[in-house]
Amino acid sequence: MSRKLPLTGVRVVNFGVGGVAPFAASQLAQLGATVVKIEAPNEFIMYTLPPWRGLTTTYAALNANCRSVTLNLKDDTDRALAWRVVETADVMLENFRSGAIDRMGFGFAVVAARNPRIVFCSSSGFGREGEMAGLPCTDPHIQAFSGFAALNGRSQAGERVRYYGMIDLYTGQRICEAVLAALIARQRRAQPQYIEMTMLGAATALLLTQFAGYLGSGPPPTHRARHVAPDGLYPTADQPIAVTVEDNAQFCAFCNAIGRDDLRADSRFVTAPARLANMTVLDEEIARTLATAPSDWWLVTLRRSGVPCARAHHDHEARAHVDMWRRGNLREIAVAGAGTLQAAAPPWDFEGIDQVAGCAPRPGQDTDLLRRAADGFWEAIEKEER
Amino acid sequence: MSDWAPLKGMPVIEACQRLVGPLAAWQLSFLGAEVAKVEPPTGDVARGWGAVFDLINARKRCAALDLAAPVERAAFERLCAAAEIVLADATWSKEAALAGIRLAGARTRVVVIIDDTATPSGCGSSETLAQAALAITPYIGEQCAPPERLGADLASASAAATAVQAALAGLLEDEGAPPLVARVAIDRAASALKTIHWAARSDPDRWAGYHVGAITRAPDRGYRVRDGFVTLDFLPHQRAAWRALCAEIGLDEFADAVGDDWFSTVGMEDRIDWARPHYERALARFTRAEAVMLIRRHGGWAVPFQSPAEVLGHPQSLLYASAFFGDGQAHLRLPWRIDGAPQATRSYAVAPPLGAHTHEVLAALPAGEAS
Repeated sequence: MSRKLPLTGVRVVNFGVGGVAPFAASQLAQLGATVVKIEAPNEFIMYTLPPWRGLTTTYAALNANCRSVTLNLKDDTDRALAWRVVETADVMLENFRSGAIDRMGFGFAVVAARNPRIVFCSSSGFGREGEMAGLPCTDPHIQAFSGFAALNGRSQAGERVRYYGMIDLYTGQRICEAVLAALIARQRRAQPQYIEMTMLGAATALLLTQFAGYLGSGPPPTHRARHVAPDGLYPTADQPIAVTVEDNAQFCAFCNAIGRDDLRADSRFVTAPARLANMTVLDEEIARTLATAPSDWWLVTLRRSGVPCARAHHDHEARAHVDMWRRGNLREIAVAGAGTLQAAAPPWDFEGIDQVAGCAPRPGQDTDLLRRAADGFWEAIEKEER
Repeated sequence: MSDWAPLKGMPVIEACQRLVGPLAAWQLSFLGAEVAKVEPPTGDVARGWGAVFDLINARKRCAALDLAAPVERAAFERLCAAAEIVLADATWSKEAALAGIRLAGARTRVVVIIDDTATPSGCGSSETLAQAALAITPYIGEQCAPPERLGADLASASAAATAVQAALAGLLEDEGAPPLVARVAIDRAASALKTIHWAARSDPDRWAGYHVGAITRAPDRGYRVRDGFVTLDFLPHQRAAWRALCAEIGLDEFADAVGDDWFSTVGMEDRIDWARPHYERALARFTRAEAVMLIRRHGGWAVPFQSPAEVLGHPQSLLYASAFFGDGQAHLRLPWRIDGAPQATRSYAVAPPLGAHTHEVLAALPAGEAS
């Protein structure tokens, strides 16, 4: 019999909408927790995006392995049902604008009074204090505000990544981490735990490795920020490839492989700091050489020399690549009555433990179960999932 | 200030290189863990990478051990057995770490094997390779220009987060359970951040997700104003507010022309490239601060595009950011608050030299295990 996932038996209720809290909840579900999403009938992810077989692909991907009940929290009967779930949960997540959950009557103070075991996490853009308290924030806003955009692109102006949502999901990852730490804290000291996550906190954490030099009294990072050189994407005769050279030994191997031993003898490139300082001219030299042969040629040549390299894929190429499936980066998730979607696999493998099967809820699919048997709701869901 | 530290005093061994494992261990140290970093005699390859190495390895005890030498490998195995959490490198330290946690009397509760040395289609791995192989790089730059690496170490940071999650999840298992062995990888963690897109393009010829067509647009710098760039968003029900803003900045004619299709000209919608010159002409006389206040006064969503120096010195960062400058020095802390109070901060510090604490780390092994 397979060992159980580590969060088996942990009960999570997610009031969150959109990307941040639902992704955090989904990560907890993929660690074995039982997760119930309490949502309004008009969850915006469902109604502002292109429909897909009665729901949206974004809703399905972000709520993978969660359950869903649809409640009207302005209705007394539905509020009572929500409280039944909240009072018996280990964890509650929400990511409304700061203070909104208090006005809804499900803020930390009242929840903790009725459920002193609760680990409660609120997430917002900029927090509850200060000149930006309560301002709305989504991924593209925090890309701009946090300096994330300033590090991208070919000009000093920087630019936002036009795949919007990765800081949302990174914030969700850090919420998952905070909740796990708070569950450990609760084991050591039995009292409610109140976590306040902000996208500003998460985005600046994401950028710490690039902010490091500036924090250590160096110049601020720019759109050319790197830790080593060469390190980037280079055009070849057909498609670009990515190359990273980590140290002097690899640089020698790289120069030899591309037939440019002159570069390793060049005083501008003999040490790692020198290569970083002269990165622009080094990149130009490399690009000129790599443009003389196709990507396949360089990938084989560099691989033979042990130089880290990879193709620069488009979405459909990445999705189709055998390594993406062999390395477990993707999986199929089933949506009841709608077939399957491809989505990210859980980011961990645990030895001797099977991953949860990929599935996604339909909005409100478990509402009737809650209305029928509120007392045994968690147990009924856990029984279904066993 | 909160000194919340649920892992207070917990021994952690980190035997990793580059960014992912060391960053994960650094995050565990902010939860109170006592981290000993074990490096090969040649040192973590990132020792040559400058300040980033210092930032994520400061305040660790740094030991150097040659795992090819039997005596030193045995010492490493005993270190792993004495730690509650072990973070190991998939190529260099994995085997010895797994041998260590199987020693009699081992107290290890979780081992996280970190694979940052392979990439789909590639040889080896790195932040850049992961971004490229996972198709993150096509989303910046001009449409017909070569793809670009994102500046942020996005895949590495995501992988570090997943490593910490695995470590903490292992601590939540029943005491006495066999150690949890987890594997995380930089490409898997990068893939997790793209789950919305994988699903939206399950049929690659049909985009069933949000922000349709964003990949085909011009570089997204928001809207140029006098001293930089700002964002400009409204919600679909805010047509009157948007119309009032247009009136104030002299865009009546433009507003009348777009009519019912106004929402497609703001935020991330599909006519923003077409509409941008109109908004930029009207906003050109304002500074970022003035433009942001103007848009917000009308109910729109706006923030300035900021440089790293600006965000690290911003008053809101002093309250909530993971890094900021205050009182003339750099401060670092967890990205979340506990019980409404900011977490205690640390100042920037340099990492110990290679092997600075080898004897100390080995001497700290429980009695009878240090020899």
